[in-house]
Amino acid sequence: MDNQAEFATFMHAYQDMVFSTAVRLTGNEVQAQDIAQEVFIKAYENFSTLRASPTVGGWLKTVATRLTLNHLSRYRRRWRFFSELRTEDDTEVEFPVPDTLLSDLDASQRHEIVERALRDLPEHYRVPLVLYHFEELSYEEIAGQLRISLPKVKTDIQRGRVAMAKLLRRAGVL
Amino acid sequence: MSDPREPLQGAGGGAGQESHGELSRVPGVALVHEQRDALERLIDGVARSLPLRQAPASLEARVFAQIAARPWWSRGFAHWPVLARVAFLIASFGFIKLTLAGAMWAMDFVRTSDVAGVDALHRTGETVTATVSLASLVFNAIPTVWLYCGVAVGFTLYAVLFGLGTFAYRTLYIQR
Repeated sequence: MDNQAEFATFMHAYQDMVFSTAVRLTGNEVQAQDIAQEVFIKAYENFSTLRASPTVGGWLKTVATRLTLNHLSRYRRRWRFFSELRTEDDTEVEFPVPDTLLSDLDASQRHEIVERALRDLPEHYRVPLVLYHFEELSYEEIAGQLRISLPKVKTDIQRGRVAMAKLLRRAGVL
Repeated sequence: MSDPREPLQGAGGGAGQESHGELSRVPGVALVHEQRDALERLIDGVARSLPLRQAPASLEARVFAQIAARPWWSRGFAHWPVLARVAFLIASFGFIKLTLAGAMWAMDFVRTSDVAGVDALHRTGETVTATVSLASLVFNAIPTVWLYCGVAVGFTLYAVLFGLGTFAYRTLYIQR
């Protein structure tokens, strides 16, 4: 198999993962596609070492996360500033929380609702929430990546969960 | 792979929210913790059950188009045209030779020149000192009030621009 064909196979295997990371962090498909493109250009430049690497998935996820955060960084200081100011946001939900989503919708409809809720979250909640629950980073790693304090990461994630629960409840799946 | 994440210990990380032990025996606080844990479990379950988003079909074509459109000098050396590789090697050797010759010449110059070189250095030093003195004189001649006013105007303009930028960001960007 020639290099291009091998790289195409490689892309097929990982493009959904890279795109998912970018689109969930940015909440914007156009930006996510640009970022995914950049990730795969970097992968192509390092393909000779990556093709045999057992940790290529982790490498791609890390690069996708880093590039997305770099992309968001020009706004990050601003949303960090405003998330500090927003003290009125709830950290608790006022309704009972079930273990799972209501199941009278089919799976694809529920997924669509969850994706939409995620997209509708304010960026300063969505980013730490996605890093924690989707990218499975620890609180410390998130604090390091976003260069914010550990208590602030915990607060933002908790507020993000509450905001997300409210959006899901409004959509009728909670 | 083990999950590196710790269980929720209370968002906000404040001292009053960190300890589950004593506080969780208080009915209201225990309810808050239960709600938070339930919420964390729910969102975690939702995240885990969500399939990957399908990348747009155009992504692969875009990546290959960009790879093809890259100029030859941004590719690896092995992929450069033969002529470019030869020219680069010749230029590199030429540069090394020139650098070495320059270094030798500089060392010779320092060794042979005595008074003339020192004089040139002195003259340069005096010019720099005179320039710094003049700048300091001009700066000291400006009344202090003017300086404070200048700083205040600068700060105000910065604050206005920051506010406008933030307003534009919040109304135009995050609403998308």
